[in-house]
Amino acid sequence: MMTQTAQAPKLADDKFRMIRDLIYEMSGMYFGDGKKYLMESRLARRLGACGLKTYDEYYYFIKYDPGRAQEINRLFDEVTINETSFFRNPPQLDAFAKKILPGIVAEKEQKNTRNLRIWSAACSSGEEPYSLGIYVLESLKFSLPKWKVEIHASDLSEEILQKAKTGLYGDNSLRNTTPTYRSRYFVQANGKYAIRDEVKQLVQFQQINLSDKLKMRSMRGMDVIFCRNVLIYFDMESKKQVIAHLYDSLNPGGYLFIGHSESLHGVSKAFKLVHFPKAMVYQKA
Amino acid sequence: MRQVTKSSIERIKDLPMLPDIAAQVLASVSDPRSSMAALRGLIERDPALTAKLLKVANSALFGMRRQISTIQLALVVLGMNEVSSIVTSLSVFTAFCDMPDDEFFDRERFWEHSAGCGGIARILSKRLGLKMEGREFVAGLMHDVGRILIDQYFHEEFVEIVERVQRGTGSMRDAEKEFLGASHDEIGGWLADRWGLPDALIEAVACHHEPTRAETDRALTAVVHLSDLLCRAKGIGFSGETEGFSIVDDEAWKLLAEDHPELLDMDIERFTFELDAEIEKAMEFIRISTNQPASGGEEMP
Repeated sequence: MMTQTAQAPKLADDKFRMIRDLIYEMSGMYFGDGKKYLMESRLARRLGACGLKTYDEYYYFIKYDPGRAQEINRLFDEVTINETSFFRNPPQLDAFAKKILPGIVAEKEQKNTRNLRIWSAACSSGEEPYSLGIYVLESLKFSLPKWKVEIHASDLSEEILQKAKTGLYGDNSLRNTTPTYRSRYFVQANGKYAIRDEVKQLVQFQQINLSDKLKMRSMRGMDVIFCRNVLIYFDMESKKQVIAHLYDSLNPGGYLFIGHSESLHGVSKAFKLVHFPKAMVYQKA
Repeated sequence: MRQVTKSSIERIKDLPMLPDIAAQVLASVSDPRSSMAALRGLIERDPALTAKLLKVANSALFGMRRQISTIQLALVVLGMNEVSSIVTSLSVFTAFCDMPDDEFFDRERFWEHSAGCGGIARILSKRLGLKMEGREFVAGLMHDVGRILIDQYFHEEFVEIVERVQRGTGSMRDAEKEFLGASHDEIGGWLADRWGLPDALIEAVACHHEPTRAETDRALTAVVHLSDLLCRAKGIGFSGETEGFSIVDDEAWKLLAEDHPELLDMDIERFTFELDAEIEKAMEFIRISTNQPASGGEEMP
């Protein structure tokens, strides 16, 4: 952890709100007032890297400078906590595991169509799709053999997908994992945790660039899509396209999860916004 | 099994009462002959109330640029109705503060939800340009007090209701109706009536689960209903009970949108994110009411 807060120039409330609003406008990512001190230290690092002295200068730089695109991406890297761990953001996963998944399962039981398709569209090193797999196993339990479960997991980076496929994790990745789940779904060896085959075999990895129309069109019939903390890196036009593709990939009534502080306002009106405790989810009408 | 009716509630001898001062303030505000000076005199006779009122008026909830140092100034800047609402809100706490916690009812969480609801009602009405003069905060704060009455005076039934809800079979209101013949919203409405609160407030408490039943002030009830939902959406409340909901499909939302078409374009996501700050301001109200020291840390100057 880098802690340079002591030297960070003080971020006044009005400057914080100005930059916060600009980030929201550019990315749909919202930072509440409670995040001011976090932002102060992160922004201070970007200020330093750009050789700028005040937050005002930085604001104008990322708003107007012709070469701002690169800096904006660096800023987003800095302000998003680029961590991946199992069961990241419990409220979103609670909404998935306790409300959405049981609803879908019950509906499909009734219709006698026991297939489940879930897509983790920015899966990184695999923690997210495997977490979803664990929830599916917990939810279906002994009726699992009657179901056809597909968890698709994709990422832009071939390299990170290789890591995901090996399914080996350190302590840090499992910091939100309960002891019960650790022993039930992981095998511990040489200080690492290996995800068990029963989870692994539910997940199929493939490389997908979310801007690749052809590949996006091949993804159909999804019940739930997770696409968290990646849309911020797309400009508005590309973002609209990605979202339209994700919409098409979903079954009617299917759900889309984006990052917990992200918003699709102004990007798409096709979805219905559904509030769950501490989590907003988008549903295909 | 006991049947709870309005008259059985009213016969309860040690029913929490609205402090005299609040009743007098309410009477004074609703009397067209009364003056600001009279109201000021009334409030200033109670130094403890005066001190708390000024703290609330200077808290983040009101976000005043200038210091409000006297009741006179509070009345001029905020208006008689807003000041009266603050007195009522503080009195709700005074009326209930002696009622102890029990293992089936987390009072701290209850007041967090209630004040959070008040804070959300406040920002929502402000956003819509509705001049509710603090009634929305009182209504938010009071909307669930019926639950306290059930716990206090019908404890056996209360336990059965809670256990029923925890088993996940049916809603709290259905269980209340089954075990008592009345639900907490009705019971809360009876108390508000008994306290002599304005009709709009009684209605907002009594109809907060069925906002389309409101007649006196439909907007107030709708705002309280939505604030209750949004407060649960922020995870403050009784989350086991909370199903997913679409705010634009809600009856109260549609009702408000009839008069406020700008709701149709509202950035609901951002509004939801912003509620954290509003809820924090409402928590400051609880700290003032209960004489707790102000929070440090993240507090904005």
